[in-house]
Amino acid sequence: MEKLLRMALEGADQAEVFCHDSQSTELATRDGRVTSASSSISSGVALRIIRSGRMGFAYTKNLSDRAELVRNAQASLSGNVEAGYVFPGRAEMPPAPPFDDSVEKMGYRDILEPALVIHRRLSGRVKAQVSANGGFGVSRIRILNSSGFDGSYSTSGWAVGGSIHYPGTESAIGEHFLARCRIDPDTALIDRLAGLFEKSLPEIEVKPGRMRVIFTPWTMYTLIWRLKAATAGRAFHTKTTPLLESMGKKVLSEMFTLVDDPLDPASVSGARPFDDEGVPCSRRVIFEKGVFKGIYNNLDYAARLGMEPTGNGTRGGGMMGGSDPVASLPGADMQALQIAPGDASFEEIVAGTERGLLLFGVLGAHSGNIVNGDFSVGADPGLYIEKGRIVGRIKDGMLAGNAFEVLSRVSAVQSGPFNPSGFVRYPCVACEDVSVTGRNR
Amino acid sequence: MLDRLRKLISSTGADYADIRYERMTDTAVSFTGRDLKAVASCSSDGFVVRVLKGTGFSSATVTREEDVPKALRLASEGADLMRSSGGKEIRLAEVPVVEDTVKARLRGDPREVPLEEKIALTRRYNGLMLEQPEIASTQLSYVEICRDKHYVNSEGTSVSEELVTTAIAGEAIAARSGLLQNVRVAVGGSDGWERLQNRDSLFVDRAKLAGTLLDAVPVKAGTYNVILSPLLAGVFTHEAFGHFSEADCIEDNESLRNAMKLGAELGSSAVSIVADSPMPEQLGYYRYDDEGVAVRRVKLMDRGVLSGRLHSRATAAAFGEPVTGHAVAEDYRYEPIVRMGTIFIEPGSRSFEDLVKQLGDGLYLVDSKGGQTSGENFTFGAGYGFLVEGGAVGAMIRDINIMGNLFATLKCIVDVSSDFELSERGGCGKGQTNIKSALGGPHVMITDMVVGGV
Repeated sequence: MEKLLRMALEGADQAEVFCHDSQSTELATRDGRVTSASSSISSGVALRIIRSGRMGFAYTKNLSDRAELVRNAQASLSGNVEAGYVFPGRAEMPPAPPFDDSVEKMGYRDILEPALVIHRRLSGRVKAQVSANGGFGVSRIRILNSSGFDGSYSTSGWAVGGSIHYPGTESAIGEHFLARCRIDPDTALIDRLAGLFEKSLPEIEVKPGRMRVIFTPWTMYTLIWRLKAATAGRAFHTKTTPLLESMGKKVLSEMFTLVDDPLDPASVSGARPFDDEGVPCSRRVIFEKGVFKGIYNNLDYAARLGMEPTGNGTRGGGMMGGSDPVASLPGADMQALQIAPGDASFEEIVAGTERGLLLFGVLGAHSGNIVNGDFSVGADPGLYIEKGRIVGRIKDGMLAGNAFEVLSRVSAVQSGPFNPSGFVRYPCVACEDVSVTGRNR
Repeated sequence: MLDRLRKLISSTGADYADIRYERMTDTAVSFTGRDLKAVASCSSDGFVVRVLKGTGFSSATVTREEDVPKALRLASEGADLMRSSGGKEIRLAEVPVVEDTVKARLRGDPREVPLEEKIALTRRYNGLMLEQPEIASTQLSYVEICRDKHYVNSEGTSVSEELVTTAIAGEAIAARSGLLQNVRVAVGGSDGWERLQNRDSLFVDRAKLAGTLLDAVPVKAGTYNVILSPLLAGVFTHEAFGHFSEADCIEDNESLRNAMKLGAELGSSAVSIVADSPMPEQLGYYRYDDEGVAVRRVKLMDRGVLSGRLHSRATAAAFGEPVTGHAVAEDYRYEPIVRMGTIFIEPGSRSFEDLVKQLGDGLYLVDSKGGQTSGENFTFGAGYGFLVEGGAVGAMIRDINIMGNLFATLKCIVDVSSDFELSERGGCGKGQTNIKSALGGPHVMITDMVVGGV
């Protein structure tokens, strides 16, 4: 890599080499039988060069010809893409997330055994089809640049989860467990899942109206997606954010605080000491008690806005729409978001709901007018609550609104993560007066 | 290359093995507003191996040739585990041994067009959008994916095929007094550079539409009778029905397999649905799938009756149905899965105007903002729409998403028009991204659709 950096600098003022290696294994079961097993080993190198304030980029998955990679990056200089930033140099870095090398020695049975534990636990409590899937993997990132930065870190991950399918459908509710190494899934959470499934079996035609919606962690992204779009440096540079004049103002409920913290040792998803451009990460408050506090950016938009980079440079998403970190220029993203806990238990939030939905899954969060904060999603499933009790699941239910308006009507936040080992460790968030419709004519 | 691939899988000791090598070149030019944000043309490559041992079947992907033996070992371990743990029993349907080489048929080869010309064309369309009233910003990218695929299996099949896909796609964002509205735009396909030329009016119209949407009103939530535009009807067909015609989506669910038996009367007599990847000069065209099976046109529904299904070799064997050539991978990073490719409802004989009159009161919904499916439930978003009152198209509406259930909705299709249109950009995200997922159809009238709204 050092040689590649030297070669790149022969025709450039600045250069950066980004290397990513990963290995992963996945396994799926249905009703206790393995239905698929697959593995992947991937490596790749991305090269970014800057000459006379203009940027060139190239990548390869197979560094067999350094000269070709450099030539490709030099060729892209002809596009005259403006680059008004300097790659970061050496700096004191936060500690890297813990790495568990036991994952490197794992085999398929390290997924199959816990998957079967989940399968047996669920199958013993409900009469329904059960899927249990999982995987493990390791990855290593190294960044070198002409400003003297040379950093690397490795991550390890293991995950397994189970889903219960509603009769005659593929619609399901599930629970997942993520860790840096193999863990025993929390049986209390598996039992809770089985209980929620049984309560939600009846399909109910719900009269359209406005009601409380309790967003579980894996549906909260519907709203978070809109908040990310509105707080990105790019949106401020292009003046395409509803928050353009809102810095320091209260725009959401005072019960809502959103923090991006890649350094939290308890987090697995999104944990990293520096971003994909070598900028140190830090804990950053985006909304504090409803007040808009923070924009996030990468080197490019930090320079365009005259701000300091926030350590959110993120590769992935891809120029081509894929998710390959090597194949994409760094955009900006927040991957370690946390919602501050409130003071109500999950059971108290449900019990305090006169009429509403416990939203377990959504369809269509990616469509709609995201830049304006608008959403319109299907509930898949949405567990229907009447007088504090889950009585079934809504038939063909949809909910719609604007993320900023809905999050200004937060009425309860769970006192801790719904699942401390979940892919996202959000609490449940209850919002009032959300428009819900269902098949009812 | 094919000889190298044969040698790599020659000593697996498995009942069956195959290997696919791909070299992919992707070229991208990306604008945000007036700023050119990215220009690059890069090559990458990798291998996908699959191994069948007894009834255990497993895959592995690698990006370095020296890792292929390790990939074969991992796939072999996965196959052993499936077999020894009593996992699903996989068999591969018999197919003819094929040796073939397929070159892309292009009207203007984008690989021979200078990068500067691609930047200039994208800049032109981007500039046209930015000139329109109330446009605050744009996102517009030129994307060119060239895949050079080489496939070999232990049965003797060897196929090489070129796939060249291009698009200029993005969105225009209009703003007024804190309100933002976006409209998507895309041109492109699999038939070359010429398709991207002389499209000024489309980009102008799409940007003007974003400005017009600032005056539209949000739709009210409720259950409506609707007419879908051809591209929105395509999204509906893809999401509501297409995924359920992919055999792997229902293979492990016995009750859904029963509901989706060939011969079942699932839709109204107005509905005939076809998957037609071999149709020439359209986005989803390919000759062979990623198992070396020639793709064929499949009639999935014939006047409301389920008449066909899309298969890989494994699902064809599991269902006891003919292979169709629909095991497709995004690229060298993925094993193939069953993908529908080009799907549409066949056009009928009515005019659009006739459908509007028949609708009476309801919604005319236009353009797609994407969709999603979960089992038999689906959603899809419309870019915009119009109220229809008394058989006349009226005021413009926005923020429209629809949800439904496959089995209920197919019976609610009242009629279809005689016009026909196919999409120029794909992007189905069933595990992998399929940039060749073409869709479309005629205008389609459906009753009792649940529309989300405020």
